[in-house]
Amino acid sequence: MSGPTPSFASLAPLEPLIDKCVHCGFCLPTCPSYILLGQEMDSPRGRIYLMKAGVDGRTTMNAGLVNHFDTCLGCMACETACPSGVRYAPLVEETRAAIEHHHQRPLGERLFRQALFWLLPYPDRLRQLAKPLVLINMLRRYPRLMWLLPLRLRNLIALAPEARRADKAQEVPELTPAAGAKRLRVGFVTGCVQRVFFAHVNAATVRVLSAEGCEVAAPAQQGCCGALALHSGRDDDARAFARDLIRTLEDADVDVVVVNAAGCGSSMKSYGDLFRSEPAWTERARNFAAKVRDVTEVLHDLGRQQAPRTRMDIRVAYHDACHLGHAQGVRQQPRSLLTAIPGLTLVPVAESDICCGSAGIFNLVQPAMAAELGQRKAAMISDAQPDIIATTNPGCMLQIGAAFRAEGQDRPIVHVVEILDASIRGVDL
Amino acid sequence: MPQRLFEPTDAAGVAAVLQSAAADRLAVTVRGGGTKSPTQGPAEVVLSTTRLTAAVDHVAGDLVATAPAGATLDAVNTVLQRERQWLPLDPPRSSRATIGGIIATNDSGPRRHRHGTPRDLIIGIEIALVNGRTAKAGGRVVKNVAGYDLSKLLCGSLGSLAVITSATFKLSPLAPHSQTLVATVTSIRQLGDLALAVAAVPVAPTAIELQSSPHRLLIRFETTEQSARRQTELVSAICVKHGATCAVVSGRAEADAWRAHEARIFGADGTILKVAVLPTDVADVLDRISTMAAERSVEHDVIGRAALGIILLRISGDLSAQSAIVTELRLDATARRGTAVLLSAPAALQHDVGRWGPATDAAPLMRAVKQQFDPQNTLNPGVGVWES
Amino acid sequence: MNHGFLLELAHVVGPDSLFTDASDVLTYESDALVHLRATPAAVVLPQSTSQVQQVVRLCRREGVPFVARGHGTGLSGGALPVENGVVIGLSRMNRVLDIDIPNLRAVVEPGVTNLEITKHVAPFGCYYAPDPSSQVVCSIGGNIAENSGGAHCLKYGFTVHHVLGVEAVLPDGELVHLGGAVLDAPGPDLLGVLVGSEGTLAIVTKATVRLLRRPDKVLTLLAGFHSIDAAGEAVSAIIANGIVPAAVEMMDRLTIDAAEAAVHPNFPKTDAVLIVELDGPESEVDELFAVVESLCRESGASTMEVARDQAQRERIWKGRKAAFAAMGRVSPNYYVQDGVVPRTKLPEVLRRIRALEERSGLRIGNVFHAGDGNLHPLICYDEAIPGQAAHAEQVAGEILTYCIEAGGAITGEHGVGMDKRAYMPQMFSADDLDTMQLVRCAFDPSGSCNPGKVFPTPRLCGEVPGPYRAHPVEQAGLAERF
Repeated sequence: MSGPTPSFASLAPLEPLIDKCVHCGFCLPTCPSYILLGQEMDSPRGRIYLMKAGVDGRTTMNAGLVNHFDTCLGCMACETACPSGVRYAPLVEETRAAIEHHHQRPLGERLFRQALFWLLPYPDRLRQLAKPLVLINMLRRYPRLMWLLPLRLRNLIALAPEARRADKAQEVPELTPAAGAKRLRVGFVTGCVQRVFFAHVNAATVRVLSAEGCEVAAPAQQGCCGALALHSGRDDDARAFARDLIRTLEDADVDVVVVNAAGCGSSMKSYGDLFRSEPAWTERARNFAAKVRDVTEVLHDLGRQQAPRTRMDIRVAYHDACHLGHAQGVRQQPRSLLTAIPGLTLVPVAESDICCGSAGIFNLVQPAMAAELGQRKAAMISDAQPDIIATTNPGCMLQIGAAFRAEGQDRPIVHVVEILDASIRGVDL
Repeated sequence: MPQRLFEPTDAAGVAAVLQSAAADRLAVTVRGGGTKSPTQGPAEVVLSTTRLTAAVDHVAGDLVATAPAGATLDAVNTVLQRERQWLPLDPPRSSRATIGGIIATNDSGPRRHRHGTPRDLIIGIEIALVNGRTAKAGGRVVKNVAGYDLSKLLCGSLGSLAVITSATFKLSPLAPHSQTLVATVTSIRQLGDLALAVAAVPVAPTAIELQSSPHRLLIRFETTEQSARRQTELVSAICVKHGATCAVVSGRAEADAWRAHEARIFGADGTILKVAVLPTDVADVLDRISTMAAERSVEHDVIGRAALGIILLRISGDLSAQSAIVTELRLDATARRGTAVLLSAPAALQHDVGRWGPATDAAPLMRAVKQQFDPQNTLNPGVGVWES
Repeated sequence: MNHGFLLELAHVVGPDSLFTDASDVLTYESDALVHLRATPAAVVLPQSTSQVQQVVRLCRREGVPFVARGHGTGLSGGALPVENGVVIGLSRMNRVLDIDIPNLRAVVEPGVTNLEITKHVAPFGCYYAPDPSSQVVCSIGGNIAENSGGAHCLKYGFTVHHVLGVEAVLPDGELVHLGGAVLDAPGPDLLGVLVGSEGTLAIVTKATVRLLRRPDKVLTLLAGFHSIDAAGEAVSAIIANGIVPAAVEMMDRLTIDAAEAAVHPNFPKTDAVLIVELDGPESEVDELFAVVESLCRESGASTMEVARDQAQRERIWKGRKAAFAAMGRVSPNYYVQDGVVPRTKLPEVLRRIRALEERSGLRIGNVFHAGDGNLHPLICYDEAIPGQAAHAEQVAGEILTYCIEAGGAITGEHGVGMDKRAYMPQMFSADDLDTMQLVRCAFDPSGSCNPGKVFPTPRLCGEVPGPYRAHPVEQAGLAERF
């Protein structure tokens, strides 16, 4: 066997991880791209086989191969399903990085991706969108007009967040004291899309943390965590974002770093891997990552409820964001927090392990597949007949919202902390 | 035409007879206990399997036994019962029917409900072919997927592909206790509905048989005494709810009841027709039978595996009336994606309506298989369904 | 491969369903038995019976061999492509077409997974019985090809006992229906010989399967024993008492540890565990389960856990079903063997395997269906050590000969495929193999349907039988020719 094809050279050190795969196929039925496409190349097993082929010099990094990695959502359902403990995340991230470095996409695609990455990780730039968004949201009310637009544009408009929320954007205070006895000092990651278009979620997060005895430090200068960049193979960008965020939060000197966006949390917990080739930062990143928790983990692990909950007689469908359920293994904590609210009924959703199609920028670069997955998720949620849908990730909220709108339905979708917040404050959602 | 009778004592002997007959272009009729009526008169050569009676090889610890093709089912079970096990088949005339014949016809009885047919119990086979060779398939272990499962192929092949010389089966332990619930209803409709209701009760009977007339369900439990009583109670309650009157029999009375049940069809003269339909169609078919028999004043009797959709009908009397009934039932069954097959009938009737009914798209494939195993049509010519 | 032929294939299945690029077809070069690989020239993924027929006809016309594939989870190389042949993948034919609960039947396409059938009928209190460990992903088409079993086949049988009918495409492209929703289709049981024929006779495009109602009660016992022998005695005692459990599974120390590391089923830390499951009417299960418990105790069970609820039962089974893949955690590589011995010969064969383990220096984990004697020795090795892979394969082969010598079979579940062709002559005579191949000649005279599998030496179809051979009895003058 000859050495690796040059474009796959960076995967060679990961060969022991690749070899963990015994080709059993247990990942196939849970992989959204295999479910939609039914072809081996678009399954985790097939992708790992392609990685191995690249490392063994049996294949080049051609456009077809790149496409098989582009159809991967990075949902990590395969990691959950794998009986051999294969760590697919570092493998696919390294492959995506290799693709970014060695493969040139068609011009249109390149420009589109550049635009996305110029915008999404920069809250200040996102904020500029607030006014134009009003018009964009209006466009949604004219489906026939929408159909005149090219697919990618139509898709962006369909997914765009509600502009009116951005208007009321308010940064959360840099310091919020704990209500009652202080149990923990936490650093709060305010996010990018979350900070600008879901500021109400951030506000609710801080209120709930405070009510449960957390002193919340939310540095105003913090930037992006680099998740979207990391999950799209832009590893250098991801590291730059990560370094900045690590420095900012280290300065804040907190016990725990709290995240309320699943995609961000999963990315931050893997900072150790991100810096594995940078000895100066490896240990530092790993220590930082060990402090990262999702807000539902923090609240659950605090144990005894400090703030009493008022009754809410609602049926809630909890949607597992892939980056919380699969990537972080956090499934039971948000559910426990919800069922601890008197009167609240958690209705189970079928196929809860299958991605809604958001998956970072997946629903922006693979609109057709994402729409199919969104439709499927909406149908499963509808079957459960909830009053309200709760999740832990802004991407999911946008994706599922768009999927329901496409069916002509407008369903309330909230973050889990919004429900907790409403219950603590005794207000309606 | 003079017939020659051969009674070989081992597989090689059988193969030699077959090869000779094939070489001389003579047809061979294979005969075991003679309990299934032949489709046509015996051929020039009659090969009897009744002297294929090597000892039964019973490995009780494995719940497995190998039996020679010429032994009767009852004789085999007598041996197996010494270790409190049995081959759980109850086809008609089991004191005379041979293992080989039972496999070749895939014959079964009421216990099919729980234990299946020979095809479900056979795990290995030895056959003799017209090319003078003997061959084995399967083995002596229950779990085995090595090679093609020829033992399945031989089930239902009616001796047209090869002669079975011995077979290995998976066995069942003998149950400590048996009792039968007899539920009597007043109409055919009730019978059909009751059968479906009983099949849905979470009990595990070894048989759910229907009988008509009088219209009855016989539900048999073979397990521990305590469980048999409990399961009977549960089913009894359902039967009573459906307006049935119930009685429970065991021991001698039970054995007599089942003997009488079989004798309705196999102990009297007449044409025997086997109708196979979906379980949910049983009630309709019974209705139709009852109506037609009354219309044409034909004497008839019916039994069947109620939950499996297998109905056995015996009719006697005027041949043209019989012919009309068979034809109509066959049309009805075919429309329901089922079949109506003559198990036994006077030659004239068989000639008139045909034994099998319409051929399916599998007929060419069956012919191809026959062609491979028996290129000169030596074995039991005319019995094949593809020949209708 | 003829470019025109590829164009015609693309025309039949659509350009999105034909793959010829090197990096695409290489992902189809093996099933789950990764040491066997062959590169196909093309992979097609049809979506209808008609497309399958047309593809098969085209292949036949061009003399191109084809291999059908489900989700590629087979362990004997049954879906191994023919080098430069065509792979016909059924993964996109994955619809559940009909569910008939009153008649307890369902009609499914071959790409539907085994577990999916159960998922569809679970709301009605029903399930599909054969439960191979890979049921979450293995296709029903693949199950039919291999006559797959599973842990519960002791009581419930295999795929052949639960498939009532199929629609299949013959190697000449003709469509045939064998069996059906109604029982007792007249004629020889062609369906029975098709099931387990490892994709060498036809391609199944629809299957009518039998459903069962969930049993009234299920009780699962997880018992720990100090030795495999003691566990084996318990099983013998259970059978001797006339009890046929729904499942009896045994695992040894090495596999227990692997399973624990993988899925944390909380198995006892003993040298052997036995999982015994009884199902049926409550009155029967309760009574017989008590007997099973006391028999286990009498045989020296050191721990006994009875599953209190469905979650606990699932946990126990998860530990058993993850055992193979979990071996990846305790060993860099492993080779899973599949052999059968008569249950009464198990202790003796296991002893021979232990001795082999010591002699070879390779650890061997044992997972087996103790009720029916189906063994799955897992031979651990490290392919980074030169020669060790070949050594492991050799050890696996030796275990198979132990099985044959004990009167067992060379495969209980995984099939012969490509992997065990060489062992067929140890289990069957030339006449036996020749006779089996008569069936193949009837279905596939051109030899284009998954050729090279199962039989070590293909039979030339249309062979004239040999010259007359005198029977010894005749030679002795005791019988005469006509």
